[in-house]
Amino acid sequence: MIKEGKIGQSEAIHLVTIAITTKVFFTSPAALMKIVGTSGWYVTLISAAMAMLGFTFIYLLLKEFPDRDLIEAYEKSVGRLMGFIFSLSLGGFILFTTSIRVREFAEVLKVYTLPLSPPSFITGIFVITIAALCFLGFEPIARFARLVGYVLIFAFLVVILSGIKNYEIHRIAPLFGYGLGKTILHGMVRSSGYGEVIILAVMAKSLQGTQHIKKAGFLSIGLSGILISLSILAYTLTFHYSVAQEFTSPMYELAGLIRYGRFFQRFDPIFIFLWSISTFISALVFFYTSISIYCKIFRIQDIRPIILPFAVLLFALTMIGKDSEDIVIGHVHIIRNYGWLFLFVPPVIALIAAKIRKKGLIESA
Amino acid sequence: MAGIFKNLNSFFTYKANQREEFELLEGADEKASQENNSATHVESAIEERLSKDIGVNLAKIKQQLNVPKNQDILIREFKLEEKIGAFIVFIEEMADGTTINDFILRPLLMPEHTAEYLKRHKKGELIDYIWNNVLAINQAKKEKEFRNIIKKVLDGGTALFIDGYEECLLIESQGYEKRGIEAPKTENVIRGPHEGFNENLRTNISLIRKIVRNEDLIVEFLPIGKKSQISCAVLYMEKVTNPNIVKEVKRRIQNIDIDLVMGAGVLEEMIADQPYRMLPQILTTERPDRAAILLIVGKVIFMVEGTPFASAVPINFWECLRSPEDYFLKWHAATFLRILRLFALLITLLLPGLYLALTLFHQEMIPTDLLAAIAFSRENIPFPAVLELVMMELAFEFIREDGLRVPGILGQTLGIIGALILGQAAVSAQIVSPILIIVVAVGGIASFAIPSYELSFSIRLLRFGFIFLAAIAGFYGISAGIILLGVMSVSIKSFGVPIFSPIAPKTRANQDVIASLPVFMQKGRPDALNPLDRKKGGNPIRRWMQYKGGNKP
Amino acid sequence: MLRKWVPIIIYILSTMILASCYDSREVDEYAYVFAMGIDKGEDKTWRLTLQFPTMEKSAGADGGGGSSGGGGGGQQDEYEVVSVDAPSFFAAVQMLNTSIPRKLNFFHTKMIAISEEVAKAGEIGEMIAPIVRNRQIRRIAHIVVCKGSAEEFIKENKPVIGKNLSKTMELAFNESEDTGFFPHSILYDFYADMKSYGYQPVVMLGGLNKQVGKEVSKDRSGGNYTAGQLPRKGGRKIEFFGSAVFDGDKMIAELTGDETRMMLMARGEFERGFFTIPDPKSLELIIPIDVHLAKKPELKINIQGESPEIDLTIKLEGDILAIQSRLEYEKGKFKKELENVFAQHIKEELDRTIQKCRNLGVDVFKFSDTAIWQFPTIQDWEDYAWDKRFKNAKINTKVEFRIRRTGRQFRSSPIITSEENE
Repeated sequence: MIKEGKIGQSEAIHLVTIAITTKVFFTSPAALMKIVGTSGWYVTLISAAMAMLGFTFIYLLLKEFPDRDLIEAYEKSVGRLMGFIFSLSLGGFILFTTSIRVREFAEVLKVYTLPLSPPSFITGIFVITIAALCFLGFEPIARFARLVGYVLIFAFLVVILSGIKNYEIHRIAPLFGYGLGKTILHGMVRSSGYGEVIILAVMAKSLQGTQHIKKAGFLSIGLSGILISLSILAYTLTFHYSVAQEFTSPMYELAGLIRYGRFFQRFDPIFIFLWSISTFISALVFFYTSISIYCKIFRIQDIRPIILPFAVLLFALTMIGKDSEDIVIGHVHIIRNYGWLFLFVPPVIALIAAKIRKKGLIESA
Repeated sequence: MAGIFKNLNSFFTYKANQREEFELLEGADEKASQENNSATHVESAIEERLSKDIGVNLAKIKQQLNVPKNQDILIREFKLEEKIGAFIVFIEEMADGTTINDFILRPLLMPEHTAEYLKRHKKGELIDYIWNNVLAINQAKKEKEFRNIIKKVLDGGTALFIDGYEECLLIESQGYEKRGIEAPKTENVIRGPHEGFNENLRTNISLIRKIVRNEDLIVEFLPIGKKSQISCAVLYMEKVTNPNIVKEVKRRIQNIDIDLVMGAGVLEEMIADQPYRMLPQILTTERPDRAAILLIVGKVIFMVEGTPFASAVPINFWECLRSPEDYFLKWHAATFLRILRLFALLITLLLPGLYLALTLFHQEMIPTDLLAAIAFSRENIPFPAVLELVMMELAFEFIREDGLRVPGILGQTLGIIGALILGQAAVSAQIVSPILIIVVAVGGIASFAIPSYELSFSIRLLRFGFIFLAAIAGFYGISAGIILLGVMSVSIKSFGVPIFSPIAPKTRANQDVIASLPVFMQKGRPDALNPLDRKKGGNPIRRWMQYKGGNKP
Repeated sequence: MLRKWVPIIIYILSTMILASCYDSREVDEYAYVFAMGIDKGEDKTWRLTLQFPTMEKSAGADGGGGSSGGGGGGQQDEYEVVSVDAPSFFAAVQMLNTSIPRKLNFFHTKMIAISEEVAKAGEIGEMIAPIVRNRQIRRIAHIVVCKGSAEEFIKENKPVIGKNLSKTMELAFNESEDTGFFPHSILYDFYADMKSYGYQPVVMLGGLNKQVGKEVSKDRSGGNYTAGQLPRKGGRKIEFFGSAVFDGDKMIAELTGDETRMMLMARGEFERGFFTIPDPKSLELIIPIDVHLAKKPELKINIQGESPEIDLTIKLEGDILAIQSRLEYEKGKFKKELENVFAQHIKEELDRTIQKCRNLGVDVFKFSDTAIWQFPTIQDWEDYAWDKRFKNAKINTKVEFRIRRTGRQFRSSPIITSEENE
């Protein structure tokens, strides 16, 4: 089998948390604000709870097949063909997510700091970097995530805490945003925002034991739910709801308003570090996961020959979007709203199939 | 041409990776340690006293001193009067060879010395007789307990065992190298010993043995090099160090097929896990005290004849930020210094790149007043900022290199004068801006704060990479560099131990990584080393806190 | 072994090929605009006035080895002011770029001055739109409505102490926190307030002082002026005083310095300021008091009726700075009396200001921030149309004041002169 190394629980938590949380740096919070208004900060908690429910099924499925990863579990439970379809759609979805994240990053970077650089330059550097790093395998990615995890969380909290001067408590009112029903519905639909946790299931063998997966999964969903909620809360408090929906990158704007005296102002570019390093890590782990899924489906023993073709594919995918509007409104929206179909539904089907099969075995025996 | 095609071909066609990677796994060592200890661990029930049978005594001594694994412990067996069995035990480096040859062995092996006695007496007081009449040594005593005998031997004494006696004679023969030991050149400390290794391997081992007086300290000698066999000593603590590491170190050293290995630097490069990566994977020190601490913690140390350094494996990155001074300072100071060094490392690595990114891409971040100052000073400078920066960095490297090359005091003077005059002249000739001089100088100064010479060198080289990346894409470029360097660095393993180990991946017992806890709280050995004995201190270490008003119950 | 190197080599090569340094610009390729003025130009155009440092004097002085004297009168030459009439902001920038050898850069723009004419015409919205979208202009830039032409205003924007214009501007704006005579208005707040369904934006008012030196004030508070009217001589011609009240993007009224303070108090943004009231015992003398908010103002809002009912309680505390009459106001009965008089004084002033704004139909006091809590959803809040109903709102005010400290003197005893009988 593929040698993917072993990672510990804390590495897994850091990795998945970074992968999930990175999306607050881009347009999604503004899009969320557009839909649910001031209630965004707890909408995301509802999503997290939903994602935990979804993850429970994934965990139960893996528990049925100890020492197997998600791809093998699919095959064992629903058969080779259906398993193939499930896995392939998951792999395709993750690769698509990667491309969207890269493109989103490039677009936002272009708006805020590198307006004259063509997107192909920014995505080019990005894709080459992550492809080069994939050669090193999964283990170092997780380790690096663990190493910089603390620094990133610290920087994140610094940004949020130093904006405290601009917070006005009344900006979270009206509490129910555009209505409670809408709020809850969107909270449930957007559970795919936490779908990155499926990485753990794909990489199950690296994690040495279903028990670790369970703990790492729930903890990382919980932690990232808190972090995302904090950041949405922070800029709901900073920006009036009518203005907040207009921004390309609310977190960046938030950092831009921080001002302490004559020297400590306009420090937002330093935020690029937080932002691009976490994007790099999340895109890297997605990219690796999609390659890994591909290799597992077709039973390829070594992922390294696949990396370059996938890098070319990724680069081409990132170039599909015509303009930033297309990306932000179109693709990201699709991913957030329909992602759960790819992430959380197949495990449930597979779990039911596995249970039926098991029952059948017992009865026939 | 054909070579290029071959390479290209190999690039596009698949070939499986054949190299087996050495990993230090949790489960694997348990088995190994069991195997290993089944022989040695019986000794917990050793009999304290000597036996009358010399064969039993010899076996026990061998077992306790780990002979023949321990290659510098010498046992010389001989016969007194051609019939009475006897042997002496001593450690090669700790004892004085001349004393043993001329004043212990020679008189004992001359039959006429003891012939007289054996004629007259039963062999009842042979030991007394030898002491009174044979040995020309100023100090010795009789001893019955193994523990004391071993202690003395480790101290440089010689033990004489004679068949039929329940006691042995401990003869003073201490004579380790005392000459030629100088203060360490690169690892100076204010508090702590001023002793450094020198080019003599035996002397170096004796310096370590002087500190670690324990029978578990094993010294093995391996010859390396085909044409010129230079000896290499491998030191480790039996019952502490993971045997897999020892095995691996020995395997790598033994399987080097080259004519001459000149010094530890060459050997390090030959046996490193990933020689292409820039971060150091082996820690070198020229201080016996530091080597001793590394040994006790559970590392393997190897030394090559002719090199005044000891190299330790496996290491982690954080140890490269540790200076020997840290061991002698209070924990607050040590923690502060370590954070300072980490900061210095980041400054050296990133400052020139950050300056470039700020001035070329992110002018909004520079405070307005400072920006005005930079813009004013750059007004008449003909070069682009990148060229200006690289020029000054190179000039700085020249000065540093010259300071090494030019002998003695002149070197230091040259460094200071060179930097001052060059900087001053360049500014007044309007070739570089004064702020840039500050940036380059701060980066340069910070690089000297990194205690590990190898690390400092790598960081200085990598700095140019960051300058390049900053020049093409500002902060974004630097982040790409950080991720590239970071992931590559964490994938490095030093003899199976990930180099960023207590933090990434997380392992237990990391009381001394960046923040150093007080010494009395550092109870465990680094978990990443998978040592056989995980505790290096009691629980609690300061037992006097518990037993007030008396000794321990 | 080569296989390991291939990715790295590809990486380096491709970054080198990609590297054309698209966005990299040397620091000295830019002209940094420090202040920007917006006027109405000829024939439906805008007149954009920009001020930037020329980097002339200081560079010469530095190169010469630091002759810090710098030639007294030459300071003004360090900054250049240019104006252009153009149909839009970006057209103006491009037009100016052709004549200015450096690229104009707005990263460090500290002040955007809008002439009263433009503000009153209700055209700010059109002008602000490109500015807000532009990544270069920071949202923490200060926004000022200036009386008269913005061009003249920017021309007079010079440092008076030292040579450093950016520092001068920053420190001048910070005076808002010390005096409360003008609000601290930044671009972001202005933009967000324009879009708010509740309250309306307020912007600091700037003007050029006529440097008359004396003008009889209407009362003795020292704050009953708007910008440009201060009776002073010397110093910078520019001054900030009072505030401009907007309805959406249209300026509809001015508030004097005193009224601005009241507005800030009601908002809870008043930091501190010296108030002067007539001595209740001897009316020709005055007592200056250093006042700050004891806590955030308490608001009770009833939205049940057709128009909202608002109860506002402001709690102030302060230190006595001087007692001209030398009566013992520090203790007991006198202290109580002084506190009541001052509270009454503030209440009158506050009621007058609230009345003025209510007549204008704009909530500049941010009462809507408290009212919004009573609406569960955004739709409810927007349907309520606070800005329309505020005109008829019933507002009851209450002011409490306490003297906390009396400065370095604990007691005051009368001055004994030989002409005591007089």
